[in-house]
Amino acid sequence: MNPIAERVGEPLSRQAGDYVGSPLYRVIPEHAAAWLALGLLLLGVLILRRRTDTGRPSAIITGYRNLSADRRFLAWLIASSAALHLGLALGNTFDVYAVGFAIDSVLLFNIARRLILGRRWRRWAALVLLGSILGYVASSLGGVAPDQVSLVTKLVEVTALSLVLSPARPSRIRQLGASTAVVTLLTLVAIGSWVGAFSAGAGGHHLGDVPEPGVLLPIGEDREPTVAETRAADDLYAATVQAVSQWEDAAQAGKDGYAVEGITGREFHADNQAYIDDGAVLDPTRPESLIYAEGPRGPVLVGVLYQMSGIGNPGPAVGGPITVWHAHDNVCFALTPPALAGLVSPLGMCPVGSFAVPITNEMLHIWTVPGIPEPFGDLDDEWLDNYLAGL
Amino acid sequence: MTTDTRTRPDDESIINVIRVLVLLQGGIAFVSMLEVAFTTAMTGGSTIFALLLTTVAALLTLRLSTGIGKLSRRARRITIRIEKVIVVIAFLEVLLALLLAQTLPAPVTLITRFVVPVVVITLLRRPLALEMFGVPSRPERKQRRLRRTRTVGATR
Repeated sequence: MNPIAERVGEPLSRQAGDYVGSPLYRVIPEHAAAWLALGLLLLGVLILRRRTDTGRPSAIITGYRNLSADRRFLAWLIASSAALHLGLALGNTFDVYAVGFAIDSVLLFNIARRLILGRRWRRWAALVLLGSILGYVASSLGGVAPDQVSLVTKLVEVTALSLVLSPARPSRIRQLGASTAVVTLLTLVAIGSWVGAFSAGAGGHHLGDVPEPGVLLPIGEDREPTVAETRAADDLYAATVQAVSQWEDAAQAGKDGYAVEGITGREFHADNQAYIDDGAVLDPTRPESLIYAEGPRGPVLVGVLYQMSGIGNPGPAVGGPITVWHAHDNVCFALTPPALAGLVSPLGMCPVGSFAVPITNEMLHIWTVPGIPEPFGDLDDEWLDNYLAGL
Repeated sequence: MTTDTRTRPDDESIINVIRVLVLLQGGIAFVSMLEVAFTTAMTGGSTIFALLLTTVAALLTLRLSTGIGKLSRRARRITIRIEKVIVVIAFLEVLLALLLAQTLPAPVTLITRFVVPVVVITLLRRPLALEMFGVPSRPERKQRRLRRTRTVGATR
């Protein structure tokens, strides 16, 4: 380990639970009551069933047993959504969302009851389910971060709505309409989820921030750095800027083992496999990746990425809260050819031909472009665009 | 008068359940196609092959949901094969998550990549579904094979 990296102590290892990530891939504590409500729904149905079987008939159970298979499934979907909404209402602090969840829950339970008892239900079901899905999309587009409970609920509702819109033997036009509606609603749910998750995670790479989807930060609170930490961060920055100036020419970096072919976009990461495998930690003369942007006259070196070897090995935060290392989660990695293929979709899928990487090793960005406002952590895209335009 | 049919057998509407679940998968694949198209545009085309594969998967799955609704034997057969592949890949991803992160994938991932495909395979293999798609059941297939072997033996 080089002298810079030796300056601070870190925990020996970090596991998934030692990080904070985007709510998009997690269940936030206020929403955990929704799972309990779902469990209580199952318990309630079991109790009613037992009562009916022991000679005390329940209209709900008798009605349910007379339903066709698709309507039984639909009844379960609507009742599950109602239970999840009830849990969300009880778990949330009393606000407009809690009231909305409670109203949704009552309406959905009533629709499930009407369906089971053979009363008119289809039009109401379509209205309430559509309203609930569009309400979610609107709140997400407004910046509310979705979590896994919200996404499970929407998945259940879209499935229910597709059954509501297309009866067992639909006409060709009706089936096409229902299919288009389902695909459109799923697209809206996904767009809303991405917008909500990225808006809520705009905090960057500081301890205590809500990370963007795909970013993991160590658990901790942001604080002011000490004088020693500020000095250590300045030293690391100066050493890095000096050492990487030799790779401002991408061709030279290529000769030194960096994969610089096909530089495109703002943050093209050119890895050096030999430096990734060498076990060196935070060595300015052997950074694991160089980051280039596509400039008007060719590639522009904008920074470096230091990486730890091995998952769960914490990077040395030499500058304390200034140099917070991060990892990534739910990253899709394509095999055809090997490349990052984005993040796991809010609907749980990676592109075909890629697989989900649950967690990566830790890494630290340092931006070496002259005049950059934040040399560590997040790159200010707007600033960089202006910088590149002025070259 | 309503009848208490506690042991009510499957009814034909089970096909509607399968069709809707496959349609849901097709819709999710369509969303994934849009996402990877965005990634491809941002990365200068490095994920173009993943985009092509996902587009084919989305269109095929949406087509299969129609085929299932029309009780096509071919659609049933292809659906079962695709679902098996999805389950195997999902199982490997669960193992990877347990090994690398000591945690399970997110609930939505488990539902869409594991639960839904398993349910679709199970429903497509139920006796009523086999009957509706005109697929002989396993004992029938065995009996046919046996009959064929005997006929061939007698001819020789």
